Amino acid sequence: MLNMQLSQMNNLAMLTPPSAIELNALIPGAIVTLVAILFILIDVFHRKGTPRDYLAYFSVVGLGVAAASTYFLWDDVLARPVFFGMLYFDRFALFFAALASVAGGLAILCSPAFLRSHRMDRGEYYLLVLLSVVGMIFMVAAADLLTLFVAFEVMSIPIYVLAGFLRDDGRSAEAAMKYFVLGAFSATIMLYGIALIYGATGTTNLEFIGHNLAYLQVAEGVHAGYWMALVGVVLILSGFAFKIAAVPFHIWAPDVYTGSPTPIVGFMASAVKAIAFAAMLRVMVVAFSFESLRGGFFGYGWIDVLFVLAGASMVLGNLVAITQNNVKRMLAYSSVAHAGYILVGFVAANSHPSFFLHNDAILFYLVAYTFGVIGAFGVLAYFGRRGEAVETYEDLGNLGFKYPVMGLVMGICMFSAAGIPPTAGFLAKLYIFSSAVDASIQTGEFAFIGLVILGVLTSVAGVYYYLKVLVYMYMKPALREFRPLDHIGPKVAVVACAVLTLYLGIFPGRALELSREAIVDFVGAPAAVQSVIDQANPIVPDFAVEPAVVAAEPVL
Amino acid sequence: MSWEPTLIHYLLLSAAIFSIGLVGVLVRRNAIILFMSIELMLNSVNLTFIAFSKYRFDMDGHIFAFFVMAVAAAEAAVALAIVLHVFRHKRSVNVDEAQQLRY
Amino acid sequence: MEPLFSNNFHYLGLIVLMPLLGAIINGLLGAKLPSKVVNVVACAPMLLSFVFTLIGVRALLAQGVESEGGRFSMGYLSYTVYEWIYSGSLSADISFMLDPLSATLVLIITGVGFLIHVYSTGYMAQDPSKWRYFSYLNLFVFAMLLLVLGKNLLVTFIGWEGVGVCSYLLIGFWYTDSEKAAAGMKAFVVNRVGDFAFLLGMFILFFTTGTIDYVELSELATNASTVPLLIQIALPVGLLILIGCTGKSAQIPLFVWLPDAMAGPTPVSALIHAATMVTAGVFVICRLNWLFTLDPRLMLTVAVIGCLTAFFAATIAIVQTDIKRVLAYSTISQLGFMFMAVGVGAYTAAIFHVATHAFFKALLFLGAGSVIHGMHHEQDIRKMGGLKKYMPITRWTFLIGCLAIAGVPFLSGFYSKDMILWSALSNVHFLNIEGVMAADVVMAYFTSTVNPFFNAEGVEIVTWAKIVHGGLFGLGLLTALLTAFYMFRLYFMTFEGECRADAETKKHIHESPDSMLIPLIVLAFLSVVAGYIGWPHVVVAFMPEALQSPALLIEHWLDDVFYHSKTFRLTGRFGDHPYGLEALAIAGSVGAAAVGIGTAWFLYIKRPELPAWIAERARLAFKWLENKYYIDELYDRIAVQPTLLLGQLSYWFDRYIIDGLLVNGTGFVAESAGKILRHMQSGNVQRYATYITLALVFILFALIYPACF
Repeated sequence: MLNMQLSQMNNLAMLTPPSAIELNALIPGAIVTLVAILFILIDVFHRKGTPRDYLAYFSVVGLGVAAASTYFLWDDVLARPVFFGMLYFDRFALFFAALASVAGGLAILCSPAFLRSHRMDRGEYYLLVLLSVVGMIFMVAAADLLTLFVAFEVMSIPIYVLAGFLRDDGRSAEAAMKYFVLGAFSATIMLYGIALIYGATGTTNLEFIGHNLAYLQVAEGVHAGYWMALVGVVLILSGFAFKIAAVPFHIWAPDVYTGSPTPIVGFMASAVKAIAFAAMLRVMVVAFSFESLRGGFFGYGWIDVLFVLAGASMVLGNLVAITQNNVKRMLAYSSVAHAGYILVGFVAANSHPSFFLHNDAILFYLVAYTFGVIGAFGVLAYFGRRGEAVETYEDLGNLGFKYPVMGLVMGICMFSAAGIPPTAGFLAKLYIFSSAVDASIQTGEFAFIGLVILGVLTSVAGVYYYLKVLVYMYMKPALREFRPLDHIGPKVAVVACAVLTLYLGIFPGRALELSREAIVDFVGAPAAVQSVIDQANPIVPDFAVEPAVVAAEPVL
Repeated sequence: MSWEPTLIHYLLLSAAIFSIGLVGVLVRRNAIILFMSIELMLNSVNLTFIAFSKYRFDMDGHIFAFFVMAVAAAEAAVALAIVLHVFRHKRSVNVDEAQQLRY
Repeated sequence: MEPLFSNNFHYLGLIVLMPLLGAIINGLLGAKLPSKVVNVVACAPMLLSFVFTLIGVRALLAQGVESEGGRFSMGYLSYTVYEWIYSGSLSADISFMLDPLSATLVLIITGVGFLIHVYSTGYMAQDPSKWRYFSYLNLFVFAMLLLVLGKNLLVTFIGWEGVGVCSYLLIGFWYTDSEKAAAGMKAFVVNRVGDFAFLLGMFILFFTTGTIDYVELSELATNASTVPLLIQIALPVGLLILIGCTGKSAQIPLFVWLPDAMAGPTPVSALIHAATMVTAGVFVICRLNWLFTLDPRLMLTVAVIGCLTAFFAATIAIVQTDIKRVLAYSTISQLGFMFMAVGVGAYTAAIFHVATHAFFKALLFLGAGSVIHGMHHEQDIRKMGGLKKYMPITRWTFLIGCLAIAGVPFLSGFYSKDMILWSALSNVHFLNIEGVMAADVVMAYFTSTVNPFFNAEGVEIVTWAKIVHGGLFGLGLLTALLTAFYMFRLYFMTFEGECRADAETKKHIHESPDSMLIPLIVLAFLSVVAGYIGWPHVVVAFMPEALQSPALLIEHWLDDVFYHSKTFRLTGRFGDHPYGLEALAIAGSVGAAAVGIGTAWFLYIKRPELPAWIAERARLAFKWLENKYYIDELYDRIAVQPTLLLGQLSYWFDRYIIDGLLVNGTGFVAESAGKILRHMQSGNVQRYATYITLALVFILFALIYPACF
């Protein structure tokens, strides 16, 4: 019966082209793609030996236009999947499309002088960033495991290349190799998970998977397909956990962050992580919120897996970050720790459908984190001249007084990362933790409180190494002379990051509102979650169409 | 009576190939062979897709397999470039030679 | 009735912003700015804030309506700077509220603050780090405005802490002087004790009611269905907040810091330790009046603490010889009056006294500062005398201040003090709530907004409560007498008689510059007229119709704020206005003032040899008084020494057990764990892949065979 229906749908798909309104869903991605294509064209006519700054600015403007387009599309979203169940066009996707574009733009701004000093002033660099952003934009919009996987790879492969972009640098090559081996490896494992899910449910569409999984557990017991689905979920989860660098799938992050070109590390640590979180949220909520798969409170489902990953990430990330001497490596471990904090919110908000709206704390955290981390890596990139790059804490000596703007930016970013008011990081942590406490109080389950306590304790430990950066910048003598890469790009980028970090910390209202709107407009959620959303947002647009429910008989 | 392979046989075969690839990734030191192992894993996944697709009379699996092939081709191209990059610095394609970034 | 408010009154933000801007500009750039610019940057924000407050008051009056029974209802204006909204239980807005209560306080803070800033430009003219001083002073005003304008307890608490910090900074302003730095420290530590209690009270309130917003809380407290919740916690919460208030407002038992705080520059003493910060305790209790009136035991505690403080501080003031210390003890004493007023449910009287006291005490402090300035930092009144011919303007203004505080009719102090005294006599607490409940006087009466003057049949007021209130009145009257005495002792010893200064100093005695005198004159004027908005009813009854309303302005103005408490929910004054008691109080306080001033005149002008003779005779009593009842020594014995011992013990414990074993141990474990985990990162990519695979296998195993874990 299922096959009949699906093939009917396929026929229908071939006969009816997507309506014009659905094409809007492509706009942000299409803009970035168009910019990338134009970029290739312009790059062909580039005169040799002249700087490529204008190309960087062109890409930044293009990404800016893409980000701006999300603003204009904000009210045109659709409450149903588009392109025959391949993409979603909702505010959640637009939110992250904007975030990815902004992060990409800021990373590109930090790059030109850095690349010139490394004698790698190539157009491909910007092109690869643009293409990666395209992948990200489609990844959060994916409504089907197929689009998800393709977008996932479109996002990842350019980053692998970018990690090894510094041709003269052996460490960059090593970083690329490690990133690629592990990335491809985990992507393959994830793909195997997708295959198993496909086998168990007979579809790759997220919503259909969600519907069909319910039939795997029949009255007389668990169906054999259930175990296949369970393995599939875990394998898919591992692919996401790899991208967000959660312990123990974080293992690539420190090495890759240390070896890769600094401006790209900011991009990797912020946008890739944010997008992986968003896609994970989408997949897990839409497809796998079937109760016995989800688990929660040690019912041994994927929530429990993430619960453990959250705790492990917070502890390991912070502990190891303390022992680091290389600043980039410290930031890598700190990004592992941040993945842990975000996972706390993730676990709390998705442990039960009624907490779904708490996911806005994650969105806010990701925004706050993005600016903080790009700012920090931007400052490091500013001092990243070839052969005399700032690497260790000692290298930072006295830079704060010598370059007051950079010192201030670094201070704000470190404060934000450590969660000290009045920066965005503080509020973000506060919201994450309070959502976990709220979940804990409402369910009477104290496991979350334990996680929050662990989070608070580890973030106190985190203050130590974040402030160490400032101690060195302001209180220790300079050991070496550094010639910063005097270029307007990184200055603009890091100052923008610092200002935004402060702004979000002091006036979080608008950003919170946006993240709330993005979460409320999350399309594809199962009925239990949808009812929670509807309570928060009673106005249902009149064009809303219920997704077709496909009932599947147990197979295998 | 001739023996007909059923779904379970395909699945077992693909799982076996996947495991062989996985073990290859874990133990082979030569980067080229390591990437070949990853390709092996990808292809075993393709086999799984095709088997399920055939079993269900559903085209999604086939389509997926084609996309996987395309992605695999892209990955292979990048892989070879990266191997070359490493080779230029280390004069070797053994992955355990590259241990400069650690701790 | 519909509450009147507008939640978008941006001027409230500006009121608070101005001093902050001044503080920031002076703090960052002050060292480089020319002296005149520093003065302008410091003073202009105060004036602007004052003007914005006036705009706010205008808006309040514009939205005010007269409702049944001649009651004015102003509602409030509010402004939310930003909201930390979150879907869960957490909601902490930084928002401000301007209602008649806070408007009164803000007018005092910015108005008197402006005058004191102007005065400071003269007083601190020679100080090299004047910019730092003004930066702190502006910051103080900012924090004080936060405290007063806060719409919830959190904002108030932020301001509460802020004024504490600024006070600490300003007391220790000349921190080269170790004694002054120590005084700052003392103020800081004593206030910490109070702050902790305050915070605790706030938490209990929050966890019981789920809100710290004043408007929401007052709605809870005035609604018959929700008030039982608050009645249960009124006593503990009230006591904790009261302890916080005694710290800030220098009441028994935490008053010891205020006299030492006089180490700071004199204008600081005037602004912080007389006119504004120390009244914060009174303000907070008034703000939470609907909470405090819920429990008469609490109210009585407040009243008794206030009355005792007033009396003891007054007795100590009699024998002090340092001009600023006399004023410091008089401040404590006057604050005691305010607490007494609050304790007997006469909130309007308390705020009235806060206002008049702000004027005359600021005037007295600034006058003292002018004297000190003229005498080249001589503060001992035994070395003064006869200054009236050197500094006439200072002398006349100081005299007005003395008359005002002594309670001489037609000066402001008389009106407010009189209102407190007759309230003490007439507002008697029920004290037996259970009895009240049993007598079927239902809850609704205590919480309703219906006319409260119900027939008190069935409500028995215990006799001893009446006696206690009589005692409060009597002691208050005695304190008023003492006040008149020590203030005129101060005046006579400073300005009258022969000059006892040495010849060298005498040559240099001079009147202060205009920038110091103008504030004195303005304040002197205010000290006279400020009382004319609160005439006793017994006098008002004889006034022409047109004057009656302005003559009771303060009561009408604050009517709305204290309406629910003025129903005398659990304090009882029923029936008609007690004209008789009022007249009695007037007679008493006029008499007390006359006797006090007369005695001072007799002892220090007519027979100047007498005080020494008395001191000789009553040496023991003098010694007690001179040593402030040995309170400091007592605290030293019972609190400081054991604390030091405990401190040493805990230092040892901290050093060897906590630090050695736990902290270093934890640090060691954490670091070793970090090191071990760090070495997992071997650099070998295949080992990494192995970790990932093993983790996956582990997770799968755990999920498929959950029983194993």
